[in-house]
Amino acid sequence: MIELKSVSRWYGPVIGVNDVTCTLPSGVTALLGQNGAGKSTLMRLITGQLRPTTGEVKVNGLDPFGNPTAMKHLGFCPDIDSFPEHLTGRQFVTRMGRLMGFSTGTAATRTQELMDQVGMADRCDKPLRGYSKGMRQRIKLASALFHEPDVILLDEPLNGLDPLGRREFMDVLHRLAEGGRTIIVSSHILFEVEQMTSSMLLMHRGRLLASGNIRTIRDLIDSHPHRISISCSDPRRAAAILAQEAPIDSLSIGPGPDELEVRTRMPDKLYDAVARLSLDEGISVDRLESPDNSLEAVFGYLVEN
Amino acid sequence: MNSAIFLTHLQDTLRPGRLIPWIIAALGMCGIALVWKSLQPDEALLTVYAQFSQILLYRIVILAAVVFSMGVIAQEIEQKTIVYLLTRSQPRWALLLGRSFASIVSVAAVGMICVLTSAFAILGFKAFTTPEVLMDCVVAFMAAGVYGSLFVFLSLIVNRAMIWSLLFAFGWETFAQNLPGMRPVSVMTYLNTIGLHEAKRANGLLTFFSGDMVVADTPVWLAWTVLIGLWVILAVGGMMIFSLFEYSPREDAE
Repeated sequence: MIELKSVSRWYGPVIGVNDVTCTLPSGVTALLGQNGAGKSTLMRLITGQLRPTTGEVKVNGLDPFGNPTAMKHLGFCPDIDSFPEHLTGRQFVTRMGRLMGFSTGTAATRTQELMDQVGMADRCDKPLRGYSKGMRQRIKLASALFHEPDVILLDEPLNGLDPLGRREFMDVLHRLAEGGRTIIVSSHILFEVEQMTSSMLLMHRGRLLASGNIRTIRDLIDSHPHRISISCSDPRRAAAILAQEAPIDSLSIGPGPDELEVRTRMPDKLYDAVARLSLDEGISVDRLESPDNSLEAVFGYLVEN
Repeated sequence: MNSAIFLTHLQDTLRPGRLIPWIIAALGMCGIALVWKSLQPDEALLTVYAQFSQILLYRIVILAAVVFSMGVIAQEIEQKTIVYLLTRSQPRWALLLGRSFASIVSVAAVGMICVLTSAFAILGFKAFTTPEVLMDCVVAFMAAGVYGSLFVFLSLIVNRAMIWSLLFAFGWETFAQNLPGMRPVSVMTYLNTIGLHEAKRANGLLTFFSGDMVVADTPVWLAWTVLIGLWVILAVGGMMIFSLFEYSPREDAE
């Protein structure tokens, strides 16, 4: 469990994190924000590399700054691309394990398990200097998982991974989350995050804009009605029926000849009405989508505000 | 303290890529020692060795101390790999202590190799039984410890610690010894004192580099006390500072 209470962090006159209060539960939580939003600073505060200027950070009830006990609960996969380049992947992960207090033998065995887990077993004996970005990400993940921590923080972990690598990486994350761990993944690529989790923290210019489930957050943004696009056999008749049956803010035909765009603040009622269009009125609905229900749209609205 | 901290850093500092330049330096010192000896055919061999030791040998140990000390923390910060160290379940003081000690052992090893090869070039096989040479090995160890702790300490409190350390090592340490009243504030004064080299060793400009322009007798017991005291104070101070302050790459802070 991670708790942040009124946490602010200044870098001289520049504020990195501004009065953030939140509790991070078990499962995967995404930390979202543009570059410079304060994601990495927040991660550094949680991993005890930085002290908050004001407020307090607790990891399982412990102050993480320079605290070896707190570090036993934390696994951190940083966004940096630097390594001791002369080491092989296996040597690096074993070394990280040794520095966590594991014996040489246990560290070697655990390294082999992790190399299998992150898909690096066949390549881990080559020097790190020859690794691709994706291979480096896997090695960092392996070193973060070494001591089986309760809390795992991953700073931009999908950078440089190929599509298959991303899929594998997400599978590993889901397996870890199912085991009851708290996993925090920072990213500025919304599409990736959407595939990982629906629970998130949205940061912008150091502030926490919103936290919680993406649908819940979206529903709370009343100033922006949901935009729903419907493709059907008779859009004009469908528009007339929907206008009567559902609470609608606006309705327009187009942009295609068989398309209809509806704006509503009560999308669930609209979806029920669309179902009745097909069942009771015989209108064939070919496609139904809500483009602004995506994380990207939610993020856009929040930042715009 | 976890022995892995010491051993992993020792592996890094003594890996061939790092060690080869110092082996070349030791061979170079050996060559210079031969030239030095040939330039002073009338001088007693022990006097030639004493001059060489004070003017060059001690300084190569200091240079090694500067280079290896930067690898303890400063280089990790610069390369951003400090993150991996700080997120391990080791107390920060233990990280600093283990890595500093590994660095000191490496510098002492380099220093002793330089002392023995140079002494061999000047004194032949007698070098390995000469008390002055053996004592210089002890001086190399003490220099590694005191200068190593000093430069690690500097790297914890200032940016561009390498430049400051080099300025201190080759500027301050050369001048302070020769300035009246300033000898006590030079580490080299105390190292020269615990060395067994007797009498005046150099003439002309070399007198300046050997720090003999101002003659002042420092008691040997005082020299040992100051060196050990400095080592302890700097090491403990460094551990306290590293435990209390943040060491995170600043430039990519978001």
